[in-house]
Amino acid sequence: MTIAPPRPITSAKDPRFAPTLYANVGRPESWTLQSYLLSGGYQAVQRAFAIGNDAVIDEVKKSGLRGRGGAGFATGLKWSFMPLNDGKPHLILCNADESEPGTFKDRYLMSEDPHQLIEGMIIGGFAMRASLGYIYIRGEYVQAAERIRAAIVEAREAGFLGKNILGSGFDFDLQVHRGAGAYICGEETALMNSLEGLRANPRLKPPFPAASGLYGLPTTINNVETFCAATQILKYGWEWHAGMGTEKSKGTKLFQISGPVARPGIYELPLGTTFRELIFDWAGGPLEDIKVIIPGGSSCMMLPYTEAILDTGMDYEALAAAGSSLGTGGVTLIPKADCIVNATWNIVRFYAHESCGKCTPCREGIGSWMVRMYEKQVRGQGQPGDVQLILDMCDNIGGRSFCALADACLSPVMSSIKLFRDEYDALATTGKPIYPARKRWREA
Amino acid sequence: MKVHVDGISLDLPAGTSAIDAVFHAGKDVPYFCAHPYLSPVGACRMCLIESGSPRKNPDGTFIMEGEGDAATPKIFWFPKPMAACTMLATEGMQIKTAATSEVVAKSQAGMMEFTLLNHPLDCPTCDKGGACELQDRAFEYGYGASRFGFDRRHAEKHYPLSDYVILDQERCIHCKRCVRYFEEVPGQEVLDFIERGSHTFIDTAEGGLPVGFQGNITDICPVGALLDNVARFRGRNWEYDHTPTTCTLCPVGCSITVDARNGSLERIVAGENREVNEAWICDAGRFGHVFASEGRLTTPMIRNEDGQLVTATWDQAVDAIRAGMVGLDAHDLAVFLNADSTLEEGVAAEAFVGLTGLASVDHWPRQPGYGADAPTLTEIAQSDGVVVLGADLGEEAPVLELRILEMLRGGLLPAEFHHGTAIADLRLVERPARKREKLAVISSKPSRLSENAGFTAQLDAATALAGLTGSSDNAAVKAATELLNKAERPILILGAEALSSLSGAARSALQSLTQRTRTRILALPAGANARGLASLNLVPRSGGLRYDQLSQARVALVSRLDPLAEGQTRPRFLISHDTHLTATAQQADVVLPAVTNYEKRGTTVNLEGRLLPLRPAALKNGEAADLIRALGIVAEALDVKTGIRGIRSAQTLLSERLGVNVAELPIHGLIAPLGMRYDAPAAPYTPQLWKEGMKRSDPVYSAGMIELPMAPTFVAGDD
Repeated sequence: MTIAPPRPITSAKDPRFAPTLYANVGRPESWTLQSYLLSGGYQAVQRAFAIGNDAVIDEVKKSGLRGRGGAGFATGLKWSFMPLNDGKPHLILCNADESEPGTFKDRYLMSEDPHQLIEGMIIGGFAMRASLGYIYIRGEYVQAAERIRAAIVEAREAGFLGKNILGSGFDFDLQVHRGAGAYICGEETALMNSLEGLRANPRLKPPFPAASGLYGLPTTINNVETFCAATQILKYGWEWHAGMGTEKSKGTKLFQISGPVARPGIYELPLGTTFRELIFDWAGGPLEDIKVIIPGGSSCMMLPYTEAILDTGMDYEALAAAGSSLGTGGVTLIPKADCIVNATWNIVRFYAHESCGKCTPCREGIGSWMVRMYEKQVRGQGQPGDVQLILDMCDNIGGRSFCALADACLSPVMSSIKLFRDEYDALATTGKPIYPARKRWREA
Repeated sequence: MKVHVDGISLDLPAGTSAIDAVFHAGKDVPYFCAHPYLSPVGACRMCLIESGSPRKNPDGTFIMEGEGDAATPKIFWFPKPMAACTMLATEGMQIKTAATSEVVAKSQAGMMEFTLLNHPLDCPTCDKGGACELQDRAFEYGYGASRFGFDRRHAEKHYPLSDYVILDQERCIHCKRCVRYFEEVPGQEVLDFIERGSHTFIDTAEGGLPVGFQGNITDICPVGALLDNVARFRGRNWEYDHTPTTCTLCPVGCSITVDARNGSLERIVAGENREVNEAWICDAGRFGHVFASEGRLTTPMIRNEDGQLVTATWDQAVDAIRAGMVGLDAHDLAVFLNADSTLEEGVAAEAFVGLTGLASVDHWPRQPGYGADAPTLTEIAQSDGVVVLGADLGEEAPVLELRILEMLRGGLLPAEFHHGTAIADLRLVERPARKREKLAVISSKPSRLSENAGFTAQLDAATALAGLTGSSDNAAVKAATELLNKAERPILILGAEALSSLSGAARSALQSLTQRTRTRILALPAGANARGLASLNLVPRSGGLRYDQLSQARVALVSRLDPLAEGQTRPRFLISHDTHLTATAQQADVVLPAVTNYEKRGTTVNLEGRLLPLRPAALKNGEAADLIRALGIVAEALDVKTGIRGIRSAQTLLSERLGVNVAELPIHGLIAPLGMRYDAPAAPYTPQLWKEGMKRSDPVYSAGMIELPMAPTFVAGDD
């Protein structure tokens, strides 16, 4: 007789669900070491030391944790790529350059619960035999950077960082580096260049960071939420983590929702939770008619606001099947009364401004041309054939650029044209949008 | 490794990039950012190809497609076109270029449209027009018209980065070759992209470019963004006569191409010689050619009754020499020639000396050599320990400095294929690490190279040499000794300072050093062809005068040397053979017009002992003639007959002697044994690369640029 597998938790309404990543957020002085220790902090790292580095990697592998920065690569597998006994110092990097429009989870993780990240990085550093970790934090996150810095000092004084941590014989320390405001620094190799004091251009891969990363040393880079999730996995065990979410998307995730809803914000939900639950049960429902869901930050394909999509689970596989991706979990809703061309222009303008200038299709195609094609449409100067031209430019840019930034810009462009070709055509031929510009919903 | 390009099967060595596979197959892809001697970066995205590779099963066999004997490895194609320059070709890879793939053709045309988006298309006024990679590739692969209906980016135009290089930021297509060149080759971090996205532009942070090798960026710029300022607006590319030849400014012997228009030398660009200068030349060799077209002597000159120098015919010159030689015989004649004279001129001088039996023959600059087989430049680049002693390479042999820096980067020489040097060698990386501990530089004054050396000391050469072969307290000398002892392929480079202080004891100490360790010694020759001329015994015979003893001579023929400007006094009768009316020529009794080395056919020997050809560019030089002819004139006046009457007979004689047909020397040269090296004491010599007349006195851009008048200044006070 076999024991039936427990029903996976795919809803935050499930009584077995309790928030972990965000459990401390909102408590008084939650960013202090004292508060963190009271809530059971730094137990995970002690357990990690007890079971040993290979067992930690194994635990993370079995937990099914996947990178929370957007690409969703299996974290345990990534950690196991680090070479063993190569005689070089190993480094780990925390990508805290959270710049994707619609994404704001890491900011609160760092400013409200910095010790959770520090603990996760100690665990990661221990597992990957690293001696130093860098937190590359977005320059605009002033408070988060200050809290992290203060927390590192506290942790160092308490013996959680430095030489021979908790008597384990493991030496590890952390450094905070503040960025100077570039989206491209979220790309792992551009981040490394920026950290080294070079121009933030993506590097050629191979060599991959695990072979030659920061300063030419073996490096592994993870998102803030990934390290925090590692803390929770070591704290509660892999079975707990693997018991949540769908078959291939395990654990909990911070979902952010923005747009015209009653309670925009960050919600910790198990993977596989439906859009309907997020929008209606947690965010209080839309305040006006919605036409588009952007599921995971502006670089994801837009999805139509339909019953079928609302019932789609927010996990890596289901969203890929729906033609988009989970991304960072930054859900953005676009109201029906907003012109889609104008809304997309807003996104394209962002990518044009953030193109690093290294490769031709992105610098010229996005940075010089695409953004001006949109500006032309929105200003009512469009001509018949412009939409076809935009699509042809997408064909010439897509997949041909050096890094994924250009493709990130094309997702909203191509998906919005696919979904709302009528709006584009009307604007291009008549010069007048179907949905004229209006005051922002907050002011209305 | 089998690779298939457009259905053509190739057998390639592992490590070949996909772009080289394409070119090796005789196919074509456009590219702007890749360069054979720079790291591949994949920035321009022009070299798109479709590619796919077979995959292996877990048991190591290929995943097959089809049944039975017809089964072939299944090709897994990449979903999108890939940049060929940054992709390694792998076993069984299939590649489709624009010739067979419509996707690739469209991608490349689209990419060309993007590249041209902000390009000003001012080809009619651009110096690069006609030799522009962008122009050619746009014609071959572009749409022909742009669909971009907006204003182009405007940026700084014709903006001088230095006296020699002019930058046009609008024309820049951001290939980053110039940035990578400075970082990777001379190791100078001066240029970079500034701003980002569509605002990105190239500039220096501090203004100006470092002296030495900056001109190379004008060669590698695929568009007209970085231009040679000395040659600016001097001609269109199709108007130039291109003459591939060898530079004779220093003993490295770099390949250059001399571009002349209407008989005037306007531009020099680097030629490629994998074994000598790769693709780089120094600034003096590139920009220091102004003298060849300005103020040239075009006819012989003699003294008239009033003692004034006046133009004359060659016959009158013969008569004047004959008249001046009355009462003297051939033994009283001294012949001094420039050390960059060709081997052909050398054999003519040797024959003349043999016929007349004169003892005073010398070439200058010259210094006592060190008789050892010199290592080649490739061996230096692939060495694992170099000690530079008493040398200022920036003045003596600049490109040798680049080859030493290449050694510090690991000496990775790009592979060679049907199409030439590998276009993208993926072993070359951006911002390469330099193994400074493999280089020691010891000289009495700091040099550019010492900034890259792991060990440096400021010591005079004699002390350093004694320390190197004996023992020393100096840490850098100790480290250098260690380097020569420990390295597998150590090389010791002796410069002018070291060679001029080389005592007999030092020579034997060096000899024992080479016997004790694996050290090979490169003694830098002073003049471009000093090594070759020394093998022709053009040094003072017993009782003869040296060049610095000119004043003791009764009669002298001085070829392309200016001893009077260096403080020597004139002999009784002076014949000057020169290109310009120098201080010496002004005081000479007879002046014979000379050709520069840009106008000569001949052979020169570089510091490795490599025979390199000189080919004549069509420059306006009137009746100017080489030393063979000048010696013939003097011989005629002396009523002797030399067997050598011109370049052909000189080359026949030289070919017989060397066993090499020098008339048909390949442009990249040939290493051949030169035979014995004759030696004689010489005066001390200070090398200097830039000489008077090489620079244009007024930089061209100041004439072409408009300067706004200054606003009037108000002085507070009186009212």
